[in-house]
Amino acid sequence: MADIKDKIITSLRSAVPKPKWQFATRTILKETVLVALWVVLVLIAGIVIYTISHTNPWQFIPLRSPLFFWHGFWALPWELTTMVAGGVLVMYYLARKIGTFYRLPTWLLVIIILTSLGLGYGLAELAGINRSLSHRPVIRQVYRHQGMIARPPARGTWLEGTVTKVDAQTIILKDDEGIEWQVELNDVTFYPDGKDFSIGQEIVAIGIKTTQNHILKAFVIRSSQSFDGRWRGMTRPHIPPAPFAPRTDFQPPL
Amino acid sequence: MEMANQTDEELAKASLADKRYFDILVQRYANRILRYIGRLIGNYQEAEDITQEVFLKVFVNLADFNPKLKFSSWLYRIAHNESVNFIRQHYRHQKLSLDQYGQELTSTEKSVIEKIVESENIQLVRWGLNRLRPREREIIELVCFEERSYLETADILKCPVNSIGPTLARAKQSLKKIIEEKHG
Repeated sequence: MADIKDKIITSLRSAVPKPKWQFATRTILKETVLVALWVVLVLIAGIVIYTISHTNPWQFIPLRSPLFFWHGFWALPWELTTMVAGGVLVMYYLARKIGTFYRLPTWLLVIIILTSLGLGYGLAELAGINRSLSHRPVIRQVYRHQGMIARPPARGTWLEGTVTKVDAQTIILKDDEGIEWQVELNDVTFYPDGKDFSIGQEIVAIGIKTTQNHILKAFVIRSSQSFDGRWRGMTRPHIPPAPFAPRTDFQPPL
Repeated sequence: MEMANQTDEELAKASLADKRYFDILVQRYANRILRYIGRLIGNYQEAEDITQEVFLKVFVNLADFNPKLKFSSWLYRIAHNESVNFIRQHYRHQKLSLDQYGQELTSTEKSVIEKIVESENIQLVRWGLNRLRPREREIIELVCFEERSYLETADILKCPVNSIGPTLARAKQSLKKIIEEKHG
């Protein structure tokens, strides 16, 4: 034991410390790469959040639905959400490599990451980066690949049409362009306006488009009505009061 | 005399210009690092070689020392990393031998009875430590045996400071349970 010190000192005789500039250069390069990766991840997350928030059907999910959160979750494009979750994990890993960030508790680091994502998204939104990037052909291709929400061209984010056939498992719906959609019903499909549909009735179906053409797995089916955007589709269309007409049956008291 | 009164960090800085300052750091830490590595890898012959490599590495990379850390934390971190590398290469499927610890622990200058009792107790603790999870064992080694603070332990293991206390408490509970099971 005693001579370990001498052994070490002897072994150090010919050793020379590496110059400081080597470490300084390496540190600068490493931290630049980490920060660049961080920025790239924030941009990707910004595009994903932008895409999700602009294409989700949440405003059509009735608040009173017992499966509101499940429907909301189901409506998320899982590829994009996985991408964001993966990005957050990579950011967490990177953060642990920067300086003495590893000392921070995990929850604080997660809050820092989410805050930076929010700030990054906000800045990118202000600068219009999200909008321009999310409309790039590659990104659009990714979104089309999701095929999540039925989006008949020029028809908005829901499928609206006239019922042409109804049975226990499916409803055939004809949209304004004359395309017939097979709307598949299942156990979690929610009917805020009741389940009785009749041929010729106009309804709105919200759900997930399958890989097959013109098939929609519905999670909400409701009667066609106007959505005013304030009550997430819950308000009934405004019914104008009947025009004033004098009562003809009025008999003045004698 | 003046050199000996300097802090580790001052000595580390001065060692870049004059190697004699580093010799003082070697004098201060060589035995502690040797014991630490020896306990981690369970082989004191190999520990000597690793200790030499650790100090060589520390000296060569002295300009990379982050002044935000304590020098001892940095030194222990390198020792820890070298030990882990060694274990990965050589000891993946091996457990520590109790006999080996018995040999190491009989060098104290105490009565024969005391030596036997102490040796058996320490062997039992060592036996229990080897059955803990690696991270729990590392934290016990650093906090209880090396008397490092939670912050230093976090710096050595590169983990959150607030995780040290709970992991240590859990490790002690597990150790107690393992030893009680062995006796009961």
